[in-house]
Amino acid sequence: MIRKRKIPNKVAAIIFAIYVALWVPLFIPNTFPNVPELIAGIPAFLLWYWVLLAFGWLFFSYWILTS
Amino acid sequence: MIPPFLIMLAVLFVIYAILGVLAYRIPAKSLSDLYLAGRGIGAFALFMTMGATAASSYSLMGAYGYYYLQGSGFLVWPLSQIPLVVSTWIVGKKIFAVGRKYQHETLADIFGHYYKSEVAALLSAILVFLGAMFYTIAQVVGLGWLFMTLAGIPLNVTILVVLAIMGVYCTLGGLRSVVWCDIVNGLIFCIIVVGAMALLLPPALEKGFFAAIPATHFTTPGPLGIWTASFAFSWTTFMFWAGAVPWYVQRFLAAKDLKAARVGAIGGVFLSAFTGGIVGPILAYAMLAYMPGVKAPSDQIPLLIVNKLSPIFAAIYGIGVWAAAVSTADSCLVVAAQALAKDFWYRFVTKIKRGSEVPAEKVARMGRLMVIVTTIISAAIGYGALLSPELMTTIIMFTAIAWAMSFPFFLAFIGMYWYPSLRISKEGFIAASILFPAIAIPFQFGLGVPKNPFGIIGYAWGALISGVVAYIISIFTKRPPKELYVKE
Repeated sequence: MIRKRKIPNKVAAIIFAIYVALWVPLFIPNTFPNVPELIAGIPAFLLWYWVLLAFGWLFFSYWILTS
Repeated sequence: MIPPFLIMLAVLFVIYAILGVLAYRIPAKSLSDLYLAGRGIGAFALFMTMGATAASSYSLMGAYGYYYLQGSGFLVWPLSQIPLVVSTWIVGKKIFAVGRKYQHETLADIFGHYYKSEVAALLSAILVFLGAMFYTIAQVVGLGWLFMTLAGIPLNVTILVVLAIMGVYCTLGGLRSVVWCDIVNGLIFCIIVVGAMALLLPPALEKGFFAAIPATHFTTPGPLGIWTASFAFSWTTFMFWAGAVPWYVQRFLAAKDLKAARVGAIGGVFLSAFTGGIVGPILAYAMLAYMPGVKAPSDQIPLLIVNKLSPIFAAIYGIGVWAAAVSTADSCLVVAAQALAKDFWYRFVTKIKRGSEVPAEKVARMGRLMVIVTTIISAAIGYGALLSPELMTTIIMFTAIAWAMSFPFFLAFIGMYWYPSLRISKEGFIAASILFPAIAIPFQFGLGVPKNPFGIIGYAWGALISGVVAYIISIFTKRPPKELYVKE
């Protein structure tokens, strides 16, 4: 349906594993209060999380549309 | 004076009824026409209906209350929508392919055929029926507090009103009217959530917004110490197998083409990720900055705060919660009715008649009748639960259980992909279908055993133990036939 490059399932699986590993810092207690607020006073925890959500959403939507 | 919430609800009911009548005018000559919309749901409709079905009242109430009380650890819930979207497609692609090839209509059809077993079909039908039925009731009684607060209507009347409204359009148009109403409901709750955010941001910014919130809200395990790593990751595994829930399966079987199925899989989690993960934390933290220290159950906090800001907007927010709840409940109602009609009645009748044709009009009539029967059973269970607070709590617990129950299905689908190494035999499937609820539910709720041992949720324990047992049994029993599903 979409004439875009197909992502091999094995590559998608490896990216999925790395992606889930990137969640780990979120769950190390008291990591994020010590990280400076980068943009407009938004807590670093939220920024990290939003980047993960956006990346995961875009990457895996692309994988579904091309697989 | 009639409460504004009820006026808006009446307008919505008229819209639902019109959509139901329009769907009724498209002739239904089979159960597939009624419960799978003639296998003709397009990409946009599938995107919206899967999203609206996944987003429940919890997405607009309980979830925001959790951010408020438990802090950012709860973000694992929207984040786990990414594993869910992956698993939804892994399962959905297979379901779409085999459903088209063999004209299957339900999970019981799929597993009855794959395992050539009536027991596997029956077990699937029971799991689907119970999960969908109780999820319907959980959503309906979950609206009780909302109706009481915004319209002064007691729970016994709420149960009747909600089920009557849903019963009308579900009976008229089956899945087709559910899908159309879901599109309306999905748009409604997305717009209302964004509106609520816009309304709450200015007063929250005045108070300093993020600066006004304690730092413990932006780290784990959060102010209540709940979100430890093991707790969070076990929730994520739960979301990973939830890709095989019956209301997703039904929609993959109803997809018009592969493109629609793909887009539906993406949509399946989008609306709840949008309301819960993108707008949700901003809205919830705006609530916290604006009005800290609200002492109430998590699923009541959002409405209490919005009500403080503007009672009229609280009524509108209530409509958003209604739209999210009812778009889930109607889908579950139709899934439960489909199980009754196809997996119990039709299977039974065709057995008695030994394969001879049942007239199309009778099939379609019985299909509609089963929606009415399911609605009445739901009302009866809802009324039964009114007898004691313990029963009511148990019913509400079924929200998550209904999702969790899809584990045996997910296990079997994974076995089709990684055949023969991860195959699940008939005996393995049956064992997992019985063992999973028997282990998961006691450990999840601490019924006679420790609750969530080692900080890992009971559902994950159920999946781990029943999964291992199913794999071991599958090694020593006959392999399911490769030629049927594996090479799709």
